[in-house]
Amino acid sequence: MNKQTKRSWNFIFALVWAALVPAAVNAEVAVIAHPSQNLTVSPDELERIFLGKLKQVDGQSIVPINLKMGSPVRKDFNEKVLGKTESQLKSYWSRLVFTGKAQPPKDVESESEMLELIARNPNMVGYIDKSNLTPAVKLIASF
Amino acid sequence: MKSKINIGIACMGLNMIAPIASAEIMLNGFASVGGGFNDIQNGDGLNSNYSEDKFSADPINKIAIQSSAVLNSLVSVTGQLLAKGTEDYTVDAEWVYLTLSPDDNLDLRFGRLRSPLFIYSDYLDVGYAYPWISAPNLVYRFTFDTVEGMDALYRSSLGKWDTTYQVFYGRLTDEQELFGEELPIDIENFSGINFTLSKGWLTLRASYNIATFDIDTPQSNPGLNALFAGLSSPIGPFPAYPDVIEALEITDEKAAFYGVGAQIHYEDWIFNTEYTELNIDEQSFISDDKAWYAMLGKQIGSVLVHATYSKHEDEPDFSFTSGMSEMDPRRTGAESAVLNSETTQIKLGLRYDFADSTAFKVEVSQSDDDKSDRKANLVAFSIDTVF
Repeated sequence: MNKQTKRSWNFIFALVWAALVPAAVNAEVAVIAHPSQNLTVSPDELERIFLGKLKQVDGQSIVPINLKMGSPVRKDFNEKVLGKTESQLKSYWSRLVFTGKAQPPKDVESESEMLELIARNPNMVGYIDKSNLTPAVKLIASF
Repeated sequence: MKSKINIGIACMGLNMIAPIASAEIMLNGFASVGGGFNDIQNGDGLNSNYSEDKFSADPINKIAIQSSAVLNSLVSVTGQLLAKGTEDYTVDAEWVYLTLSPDDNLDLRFGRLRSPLFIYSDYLDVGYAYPWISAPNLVYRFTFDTVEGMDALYRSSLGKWDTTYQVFYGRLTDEQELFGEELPIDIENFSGINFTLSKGWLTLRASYNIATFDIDTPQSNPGLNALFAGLSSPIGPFPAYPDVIEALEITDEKAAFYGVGAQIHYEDWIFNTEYTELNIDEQSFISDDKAWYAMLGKQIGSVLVHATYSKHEDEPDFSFTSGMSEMDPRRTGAESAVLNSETTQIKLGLRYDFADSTAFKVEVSQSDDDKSDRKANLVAFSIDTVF
């Protein structure tokens, strides 16, 4: 192996490292709401909001928003806050959907779409990777 | 009208997501395919949808499409069209109802709904939503599963517990299997109340239901026809017993059905159980009965391994023949015409969530009726999806 290829391997390795590490080790999920929101929610309340069990906090309607399926931040949120895997959640929601009792939270395509939506809607609660937090939204919890 | 909806949607903060002002329509569906081999060792009827010693796919295959339209913050309409193998794939509207939601916690539904007798009643056809290929058949023992009428669902909380109360009232004309025959059943004043308590890993449910029902008398069972012919005229020293025939016929029977159940999902362990009892004011072909199951499962990655024990027991009341002489050969005939079995079933199964929204399941079960010495083994598999 010559020096040149060795260096490029190192470079690729560093890239892979950079891509994997924040997601796997340092990533923190930020739960966000509209800046005007003075909401305080406990982890338990948050779980119930995203499972469709709690629709109001302090007399105020709360609409949860999910990142699209397959997003690593969503997976993280599911595990840390809801304590469930994607397939357990799918099963949970199918029980409610096919009995007409509830629909799962709406999905957005990306974190930038999430930020935009939360910044505009005082009743919505969503989540993003904490490193993507902007002043347009308010951090209400992190996990 | 239109502006009112716009206001409703804006208030909910959904103006970004629901740009169509007229109605938000949601489409969902589910499907199951699979099959089973019913190895009957003695007697028939333990796995009633499966044919004898042959492969059958009909008991499992089904597809459904559900459409819900949210018209405004008060009214939504839901319909579910289901085609299943046991009904020759004829498309049937399983659910058709209109929901009024006066507030976030209360739903009033009108139309064709599920009769909520059991924990899994509401989504019996949605295989993906539960661990087994189908709910334990000794306990989920009625062939009908809907009611036409109305219900009210109220969600609330008690401390840290989430609670759901449901009351329903309606009527149902459908079919129930009896002596291997699908017979018209008419269930009137079909009503009930149930409540569910849940908190994290634990869910508890209790239900109490009442109804008055009639089922047509079976016509094609030779033994039964001979018995009825025998009872309608005197034999030797013994008189005719039209009152015994009348007792056996299923008319104006007042039934109470209750069930209690629990679901535990603690870390990788799953435990589900239900105990149910049917009590009828008078003995007919149908006897009082009780049935229960307990399931224990362990989740290992995407695989759930589970074992279920279930038991069904009829409790016939033979006082309807007390007017007959012990010597009258028709007495044992009349007594053997009523439902009287004591069946246990052991089921071992596996569910493998091998892809998104898709689960593969395989099960083996052994059923045993102690009273009639019937025995059957069933091996079945399915692929369940939701979309």
